[in-house]
Amino acid sequence: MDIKLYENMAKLDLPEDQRRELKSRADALLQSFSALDEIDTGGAQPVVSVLDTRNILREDTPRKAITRDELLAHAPEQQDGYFRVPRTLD
Amino acid sequence: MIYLDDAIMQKGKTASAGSKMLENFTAPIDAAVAVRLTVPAESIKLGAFGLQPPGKLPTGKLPEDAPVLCSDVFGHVRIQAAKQGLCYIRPTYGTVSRYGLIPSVCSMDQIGVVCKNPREGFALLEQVAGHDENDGAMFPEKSYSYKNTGKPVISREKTPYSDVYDAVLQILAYAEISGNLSRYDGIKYGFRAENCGTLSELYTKTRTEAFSTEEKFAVIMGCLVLSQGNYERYYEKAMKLRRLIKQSLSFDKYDVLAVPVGSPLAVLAGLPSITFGDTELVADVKNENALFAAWEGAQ
Repeated sequence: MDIKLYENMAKLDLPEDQRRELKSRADALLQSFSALDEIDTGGAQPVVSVLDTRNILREDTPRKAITRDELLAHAPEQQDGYFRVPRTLD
Repeated sequence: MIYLDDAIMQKGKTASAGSKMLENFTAPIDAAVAVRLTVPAESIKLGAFGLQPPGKLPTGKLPEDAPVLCSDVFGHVRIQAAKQGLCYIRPTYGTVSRYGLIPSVCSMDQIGVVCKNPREGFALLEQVAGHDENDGAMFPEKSYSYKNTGKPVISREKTPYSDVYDAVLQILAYAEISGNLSRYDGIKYGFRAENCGTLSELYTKTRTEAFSTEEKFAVIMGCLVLSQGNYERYYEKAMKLRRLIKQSLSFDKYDVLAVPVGSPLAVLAGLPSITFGDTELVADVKNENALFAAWEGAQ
């Protein structure tokens, strides 16, 4: 497997020794997953949730929620009521 | 005294879920289970026991003196409990609210209890189980009364697909973990790397510096099994096998299955389980208010 491809998807940049270690583990795991190829699942429908999913609706009325100030208090950097981030365009 | 794992939020207390990413994160809310506990607030202690990706070494020692509420998807807590002569009860998926539980594998996350004996564990579960509108995947019952259902019928059965339980669990878990860990971007909360020139660099440095090796492995594998060209072979196949595994558990002939501790069977099928020594028991849920047969004296 091309581990750099998936690192990039996962927004990671591993040190070379860790990259080698995880690639080796991933290759071994993928080898073990090949047992699944042997099984014919026929027309089985995928399980997304073990419960029967159903819509949960409620009246659209205001209720107590976490305030903006409380939420922003957890941000590593904030300014004027907004999250503060580095520049977004290269 | 009751311990709550640090993946279960207690307002104003640290909720790290065992990760550097959240090491200084203070919970903004109380989890539903914390609110429902009827013990005085000073009797609720913070611990770090659960929520670890598959592959990571087993958890540290569990407290011998008090029950622990924590989610255990991969069996680390169950196995540790068994080693210490304690029990772990994993209730039926959808009976205990996960509101305020830091998510790991949403289709399998369920708060259970480490306890000295089932009586203690079920008494605690009766306090915390029951419908909560803040959790979208729950049964509608408002409360649960865990009672004995009488003597179980014992027989030996070969459960099909057992050779691939682990593979199915890992594929589904890595996929869901990679989705859940995508929220850790260094912006909204948690750790942020320093000296980042661009937003993209901020994401990458933050996640590279704060995720553990196991968390990195989980998100990489999750991206792999969900990506174009691999999705059908791994993720969709595992979801279909989960259907077959669930359907393979016909409880027409028996009430309880005994399997090795840490078997992912109950987790994949959404069934309740309980560890006793080196055995895990998986029970039927036809009568949701009476989940387990006469185990109270069986320890």
